[in-house]
Amino acid sequence: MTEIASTDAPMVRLVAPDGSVVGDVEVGLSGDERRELLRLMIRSRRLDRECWALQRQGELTVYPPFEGQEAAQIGSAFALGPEDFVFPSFRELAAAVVRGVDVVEYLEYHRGTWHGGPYDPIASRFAPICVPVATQIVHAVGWAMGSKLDGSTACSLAYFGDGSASEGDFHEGANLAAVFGAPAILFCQNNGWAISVPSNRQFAAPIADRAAGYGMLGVRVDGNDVLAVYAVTRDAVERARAGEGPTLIEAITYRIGSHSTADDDARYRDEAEVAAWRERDPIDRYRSYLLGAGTIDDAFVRGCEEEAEAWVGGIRTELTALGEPPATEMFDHAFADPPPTLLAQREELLGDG
Amino acid sequence: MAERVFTLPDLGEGLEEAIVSTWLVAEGDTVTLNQPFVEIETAKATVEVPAPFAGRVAKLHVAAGETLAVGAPLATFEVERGGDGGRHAGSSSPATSVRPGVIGGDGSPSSAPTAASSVAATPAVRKLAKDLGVDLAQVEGTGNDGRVTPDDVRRAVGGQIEAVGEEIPISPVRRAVAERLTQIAAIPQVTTFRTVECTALDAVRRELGVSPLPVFMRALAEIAKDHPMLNATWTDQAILVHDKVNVGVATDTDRGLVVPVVMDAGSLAIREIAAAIERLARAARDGSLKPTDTSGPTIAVTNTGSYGSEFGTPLLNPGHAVTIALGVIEPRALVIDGSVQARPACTLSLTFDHRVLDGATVGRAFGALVELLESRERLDALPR
Amino acid sequence: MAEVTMVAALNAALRDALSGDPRTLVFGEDVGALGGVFRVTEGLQAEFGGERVFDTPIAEAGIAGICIGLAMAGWRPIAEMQFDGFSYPALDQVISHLAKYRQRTRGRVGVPAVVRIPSFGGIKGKEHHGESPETYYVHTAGLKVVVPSTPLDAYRLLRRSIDDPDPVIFLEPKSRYWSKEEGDLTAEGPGIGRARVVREGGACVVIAYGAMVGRCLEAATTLSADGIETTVLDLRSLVPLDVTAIGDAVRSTGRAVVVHEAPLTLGMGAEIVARIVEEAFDHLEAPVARVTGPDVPYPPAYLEQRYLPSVKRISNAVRTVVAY
Repeated sequence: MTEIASTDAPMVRLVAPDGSVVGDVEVGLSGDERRELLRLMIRSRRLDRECWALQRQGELTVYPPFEGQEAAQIGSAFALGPEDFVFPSFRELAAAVVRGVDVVEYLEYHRGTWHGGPYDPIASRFAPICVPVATQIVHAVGWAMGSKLDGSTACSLAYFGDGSASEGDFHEGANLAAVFGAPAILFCQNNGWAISVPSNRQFAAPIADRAAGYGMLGVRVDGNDVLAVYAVTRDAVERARAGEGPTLIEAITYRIGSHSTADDDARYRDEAEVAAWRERDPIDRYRSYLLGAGTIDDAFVRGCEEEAEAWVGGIRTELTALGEPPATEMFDHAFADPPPTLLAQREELLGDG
Repeated sequence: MAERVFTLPDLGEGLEEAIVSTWLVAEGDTVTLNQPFVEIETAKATVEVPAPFAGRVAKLHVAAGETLAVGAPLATFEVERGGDGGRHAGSSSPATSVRPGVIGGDGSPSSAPTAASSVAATPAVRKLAKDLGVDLAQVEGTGNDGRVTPDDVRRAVGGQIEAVGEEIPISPVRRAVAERLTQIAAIPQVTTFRTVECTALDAVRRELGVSPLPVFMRALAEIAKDHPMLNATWTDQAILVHDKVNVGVATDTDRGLVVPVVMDAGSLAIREIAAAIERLARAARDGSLKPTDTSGPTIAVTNTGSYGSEFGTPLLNPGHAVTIALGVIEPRALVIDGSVQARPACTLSLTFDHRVLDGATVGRAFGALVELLESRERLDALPR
Repeated sequence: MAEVTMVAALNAALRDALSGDPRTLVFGEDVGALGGVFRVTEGLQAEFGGERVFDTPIAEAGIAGICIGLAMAGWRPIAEMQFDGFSYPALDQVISHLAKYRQRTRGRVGVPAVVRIPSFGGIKGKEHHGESPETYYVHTAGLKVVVPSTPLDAYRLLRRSIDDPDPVIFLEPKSRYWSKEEGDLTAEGPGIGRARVVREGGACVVIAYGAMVGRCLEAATTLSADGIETTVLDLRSLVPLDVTAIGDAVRSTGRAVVVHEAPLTLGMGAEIVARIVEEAFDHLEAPVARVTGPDVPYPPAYLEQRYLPSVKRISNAVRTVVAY
């Protein structure tokens, strides 16, 4: 097993990689909710693989896969309420699925038919896809500050990676959140790699340890243990709602795939390392646990897989039908109240209407 | 079954080509959607491409080891018809209509620079020169650094054009007439003159109670029957000789010159021509002429005598080979039978298109016209 | 009618906005108890409370970035950057997000924020305290850029900027903070996107904004003594740019001079000359002149007045253009 920074530091874990129970799995979820978590993980992985294929077939321009991170995203997103607001980076398709974002609209970003906000962010409570890494942390903190000013109990959750934690905006966002007691959850998916730079060259101490430095609570969790992720996020949400301020969560997980379809991970990491992390697969372990606990049977798993297959087929059909958006949209959304000079440019480039 | 061609996608953010490394299927194989079907080697990595369709591999377009351009056909599949509805077209590509210098576009290149652009002059002076029709290259500049000034341009037009009095704006009709006349001036035209002894003409017109003009026009139409080249038009393809004599009568109005037409004057009686002239003149003054009133003239007449002109050099209208000005009828000293006598007379000025007519042909026709006009008998023979 | 300084006018605009719309917020470094290093926010925290008027840590990117989250939560943020030279850390959030959010979300989510920045030189400031950053913002599609030159305009333009649904970068000419003007702050006036003819004259138009408008008026007085009457056009906003007013002024005078503090290359002068060529080419009697700072980093206090367009340089430019 190669050394990825901070793998060995203590972390919250309830279900071990082999599916055995090692902590208190009574986390306040019903049987249906436990089953729903598995269903979400199965269908999102199927979707992730379909997106990879779609890119290879020329239907998407570039796609960043999240395989291996299903538990980290789904467990955390599942702990949020309908009023809460998610501020993602660019790899959170699984979280988007949990929040009910329209997948075909989301994928418009990767198809290149629009930028990162093709779905309705306010209705989905899911901000646009954010590529300048860590900048979304500040947005999440601002939103949380606004929620607090309204006396609301709604909280925000910002997803970001281990690489983003090096950016200045992480620091400014964390500091602002703590100083203002903002109900914000800073959720780091430490997946071991920032493109080709491993986490032991990204930082010198566990990310969760920084929390104390800001004056907020920090939690490390096994990011591949969906129940543990759910539990720590739910705790953070409750603290935020109770006015106890922000939490920094570092979820230890692994990016099974390359950084994106444009990246070749064979150039910088060992297949052996990837294989070792497949042994800690989040879906395998959770399925084993549920089967062992009698919460599900094989038929349920097959049902999830079939349903995922059909769902993904429908997404493929809709997505591949998407063509060029009207060029007027380039002009129509730049301003609410456009300058006359811009309207003149629109006419010149596009003619009347 | 339908055929679908799968082209090589851009697998690596801006790649232009790739090598087909290994085929994982063969022609004739049946494949499922997303089944691995080829390995492609790009500059960045070797990449496995899953089958984009379920169906039969009909053709592999390139052999293993060969290089293929992005967008070129990779493989053709036979798939089930229907199901995949094909892509919705996006919007049609936008029309580009762009003014150069603002956002830029593929407009046609600007015209080649003329000598004028090597002359030093500010944009305002250039516009003035263009409006006044002055070629800047011909103007000497007296401004700073030898620049052409506005006054230099105005002087080049000819005469001082200083606004010391009224400035009359140019109406669209006047401007149109001016443009037409400028075109007309380019036609090679010659004017020839004959004096007509008008005793007979005067008597006939008084009998009929009309002005000399309708009599004259009827006589002209009569002569044109024997001298058809008077009633012709020059075109680049051929000289058109017209069957009917449609006489355009130049008429002055507030808005400028208009030329209403008396159609087929050769088939009308003199009084009918007079009535037509009357109607057209009224309509011209009212501005109620219809387009049919001014179209189709083949020959033109202008009654310059009505404002006292003796003779002149009328300009042709494009489309006519001949235009005749009828000068004022007044007592003249003519030599009749060896002695000088006072007789009513006028001068006819006939301008002809020298491309259509030569002097001799015109001379014969003109002579015949004068003979007719001077003969009481022959004038009486014209339908009244 | 009382005289009011630009600081007082801005303060009044913020006060009126805060009381008129309970969703407005004012924040930045030292804006609370201190009332801002230029006192523009004086008294606001005491009046409206520490939740609506608050100090932030020193975090410019954070200050700009929280505008997005606050806007999405339904607030109207009015953020302050302490100085022009310190607005740069926020550029990523401004360019990548404030300017683009509306387009990115297909018009669903705009950011109706105002970022106020004390700007430009002329106060013998230290390095980084006299920058002219307007080109960066003007060139970033999706932003509006507003520059008042007088106290009354400062009031009305700030009120309009706060009400604008689009993100506005509001550049305050700090060398004019203590200038005074008599008038009724709440009187109606032209809005964002409209330039104002401050002085009329037929020989030439001098086009400027911010602190340079005053210098152009001084130059106009000097020139008038020699019989050269100039029009002075205060642009008031750089985006939207009042191209019609520029065109009208050049069409009626045939000659133009553009004045700005910012360095010559790719300053607003370049854009304005291009617009003049598009709008009034046939009326030009002379090339358009630009009187600007040179292409060097802003100099120390002792050299400041050698860098900034002086009344003399402006007058000379007009004379040259008129004599062409």
